[in-house]
Amino acid sequence: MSTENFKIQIRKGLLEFCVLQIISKREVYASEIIEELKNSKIIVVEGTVYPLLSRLKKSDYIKHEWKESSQGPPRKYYSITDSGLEHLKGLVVSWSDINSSVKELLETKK
Amino acid sequence: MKKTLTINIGYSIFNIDEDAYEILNRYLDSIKNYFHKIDNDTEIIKDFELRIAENFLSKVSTTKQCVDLNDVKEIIEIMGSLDDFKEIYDDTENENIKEEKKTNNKLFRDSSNRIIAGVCSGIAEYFKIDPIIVRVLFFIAVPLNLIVYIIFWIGIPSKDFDPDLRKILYRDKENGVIGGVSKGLSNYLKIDANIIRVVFVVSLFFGGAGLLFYLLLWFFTKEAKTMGEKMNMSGFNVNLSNIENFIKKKTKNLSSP
Repeated sequence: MSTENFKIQIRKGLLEFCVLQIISKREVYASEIIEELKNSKIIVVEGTVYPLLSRLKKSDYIKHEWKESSQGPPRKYYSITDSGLEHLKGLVVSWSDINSSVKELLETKK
Repeated sequence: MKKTLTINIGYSIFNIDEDAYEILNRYLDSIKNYFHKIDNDTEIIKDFELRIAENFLSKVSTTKQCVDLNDVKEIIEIMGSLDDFKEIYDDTENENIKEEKKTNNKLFRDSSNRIIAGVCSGIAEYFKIDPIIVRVLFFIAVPLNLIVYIIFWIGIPSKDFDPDLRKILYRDKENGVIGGVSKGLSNYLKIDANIIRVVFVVSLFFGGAGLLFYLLLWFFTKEAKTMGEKMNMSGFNVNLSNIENFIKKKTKNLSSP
């Protein structure tokens, strides 16, 4: 497995987790989510987020609301639902489990 | 000077150059096709359009009133093309391919593109070739094939196919010598046009079947006139390198008419 491939696989697995995490903090619209993901180098192209948002909405983890914007067309603002928060809690727990196991592996020498 | 179109995308209206429109249209179609399995309420495509509109809005001004090819290229770069999505959504893709294979293994009459009952077109879809080729072959041998055609008509069920995924045989009059048939064939088959021309000329000395074939193709094919038809001639896949090539070709044509 090349480094590039490794990165892709990791990103793929973490995308949903990161998007939910961002939405759980405050009400955001798609471009803001994308901005944060880009800053933390989780995604490279914006198009990958929209299908995910649509899926999360279908599973009732997030909901959206249309809001007027000062420049341009109205925007969709996303917020997390109760079941979304529940789901995210589960993800956080599994993430920290994995994280600590990997850390342990990296730290044990011989 | 360029022709422009008016489009309504993401609740906003833009003027857009014809060539830019063709690329954008193809891009959106390719996304629609790619996500049609998971996007049954067209929400994903609407989100795409909204984002594209937002970006275009920042591109146009009173001094630059029209969305051009570079704007479209830029937004596709931002949004990403199919190759980028495949990294993340390869599961849905595999499913699509599987399903496509399933339908391809069966012969259908093509109800989306037919002259009589869609037999020729269905056979063409099965072999992934242009229906015109099958039609011409049928036409050349009418009496025998009429029977075959009717048997197929009765024997094969019909089905709608997606016409956008097909490569289409056009006459390329711009670059042709007589009617653009040879050049059109060469675009389609990706062979040098001169080879096809030589074959046609040589066939004149052997009974002239080539001449008949040429005339029939001339009669049956459309001349590629619009930008979209010209792109369909050689099969155009929306990704950045193709768009880049397209833009390069366009600018070259402008500087050396």
